[in-house]
Amino acid sequence: MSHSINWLHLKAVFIKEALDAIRDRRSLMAVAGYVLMGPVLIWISFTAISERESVATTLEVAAQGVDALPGLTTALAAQDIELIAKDDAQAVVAEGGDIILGLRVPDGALDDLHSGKPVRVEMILDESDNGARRAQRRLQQALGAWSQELTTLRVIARGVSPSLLQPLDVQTVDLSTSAERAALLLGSFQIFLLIAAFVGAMNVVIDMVAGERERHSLEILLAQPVNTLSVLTGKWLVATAFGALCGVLTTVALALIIPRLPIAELGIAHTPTLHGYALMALVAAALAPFATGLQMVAASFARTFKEAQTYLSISFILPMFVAMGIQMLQPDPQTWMQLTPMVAQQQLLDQILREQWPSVADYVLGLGPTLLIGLVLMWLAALLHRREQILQTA
Amino acid sequence: MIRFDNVNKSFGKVHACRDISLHAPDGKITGVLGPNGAGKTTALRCLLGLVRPDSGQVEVDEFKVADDPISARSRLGVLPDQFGLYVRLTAREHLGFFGRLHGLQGSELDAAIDNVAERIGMTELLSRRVQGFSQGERMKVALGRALLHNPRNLVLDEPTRGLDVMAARSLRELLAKERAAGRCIMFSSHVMAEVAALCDRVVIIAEGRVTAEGSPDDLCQQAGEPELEDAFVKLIGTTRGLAA
Repeated sequence: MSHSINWLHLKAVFIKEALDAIRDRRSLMAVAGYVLMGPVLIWISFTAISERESVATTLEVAAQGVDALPGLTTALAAQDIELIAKDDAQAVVAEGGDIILGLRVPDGALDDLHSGKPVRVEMILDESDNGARRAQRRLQQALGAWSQELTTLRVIARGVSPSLLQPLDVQTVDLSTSAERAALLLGSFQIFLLIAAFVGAMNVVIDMVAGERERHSLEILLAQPVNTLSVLTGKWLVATAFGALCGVLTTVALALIIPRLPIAELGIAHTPTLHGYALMALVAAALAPFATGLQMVAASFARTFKEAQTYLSISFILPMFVAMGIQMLQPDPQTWMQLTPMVAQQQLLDQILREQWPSVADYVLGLGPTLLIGLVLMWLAALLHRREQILQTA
Repeated sequence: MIRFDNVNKSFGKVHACRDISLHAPDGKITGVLGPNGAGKTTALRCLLGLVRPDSGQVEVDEFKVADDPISARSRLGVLPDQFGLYVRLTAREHLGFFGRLHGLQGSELDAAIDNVAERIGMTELLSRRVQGFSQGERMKVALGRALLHNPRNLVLDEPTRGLDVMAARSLRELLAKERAAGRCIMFSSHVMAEVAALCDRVVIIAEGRVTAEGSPDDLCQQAGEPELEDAFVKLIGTTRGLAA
């Protein structure tokens, strides 16, 4: 029996499957939906982060008895914290209005201050409120700074050098470049690029493998003078094209959305260049042969469309977990990583985002094994189609 | 010519084919009758090389299916019980796809499509997508797919199912013409009148075995019944599968 590829058969299958997939609204919707969904989710999350982290707004604090501490109001105002005098700060905070933090200075504070005793001040808040806890940290920091300033003045007044109170002067030297800091944050985009090929190919694979079986067209197809390798290669190429297209379009969508994100407010002045985006698209698209091969093998065990959806969801959740695990653990680069699909691409994306441009050899080593594994999986799917059980339907 | 020689096939404890031997010669219509679950589908899959017999062999013209399934399949035109059509393709795209799998290309393929469409009266369907086709229209596309490459042997599983009276009549005329052209036609149907009118020879399969064979008249004589339907029921020796 001939098991080599018949190019005319392969071409016939490719044309038919491409036509069928292009006319399948579900396949196109999957690609379009994913391409749009990623950037929208990123935009929403970045806007939320930016609003949360933003330090530009004035913090209003209900203040009770702060007149007893001269200079505190002015010192806090310099930190953009406005003290609003109230008779009962606790009642104001408990009301649950715009003011979520209170500061209470008890009677006799001025006397304590003059006599050098610690002055007790109370911060009033609802600790279950995240916003109130952030406001508390900010106020505490400002109070700490003012307290430090008072200490310095007191020791100077007693003829002591304030440096004696500070045996260690701890400074942080940040060696990261702006591109690297951006990469850390933009790393969250990687996962969108890494699973794009899986999403793009998934519906096409389900329809052309499990769907073919479900609608009984597989038996008549295999009853033609064709071998399964030619048929499955044709199908693999079409689904790979859809997966690659989804990878490229997702990169384009990211390239359009990233400049519009409020990342400058998060201290990031650097975004990928056109060159970087082009390489990211290449890496995302290069996952398509593997994604399609893996999905075709999984779908070969499914007798119905629904069964295939279950198997294929698992088939891309697993590699996704691997990629997420690697991203979280950040292990040192090792050879096995270049040989492992998803991990290899993640390493390349990471380098591209840091603008540590990978060499041609890096691309060959990072993408070659993945392509090879994709080919082997496709060949395995062709073998699975030679089993008699492949004709069983639900 | 299609020949089964002592074909056996089991799936676990189920014996789907037990020593099936039959011969469908060129220029004849051979009816294969049997209740549901008799083993006809497994026998057909053995013929197509999709299932490998445990023992025995199947031949299509000069090719042994087990040794050269590709050549054997190229000599067959098959209409299965499930049409297996692609609903998003037009009838012409369907025929084009299967024609290419049989090596037809370019103007030769176009001519073959137009020719077969005219023969089975589906020219007006060619540019329409299969989605929305009636059962009869789907049957025509599936039949066109089986006839397109002008195969020496035709295997048709209930080909008049879903056809209106006129379409069924013209199909029977078409089969008669194909027989006259020297083709081997294997045909299954549950409509006994149709079998009696069309088939030169009838092979009855029940519980995986060939239980009787001969012309419709021979079978009626063997069973001692005037009607083929009564003879069929008597010869299969059971009513199991008939109601399904």
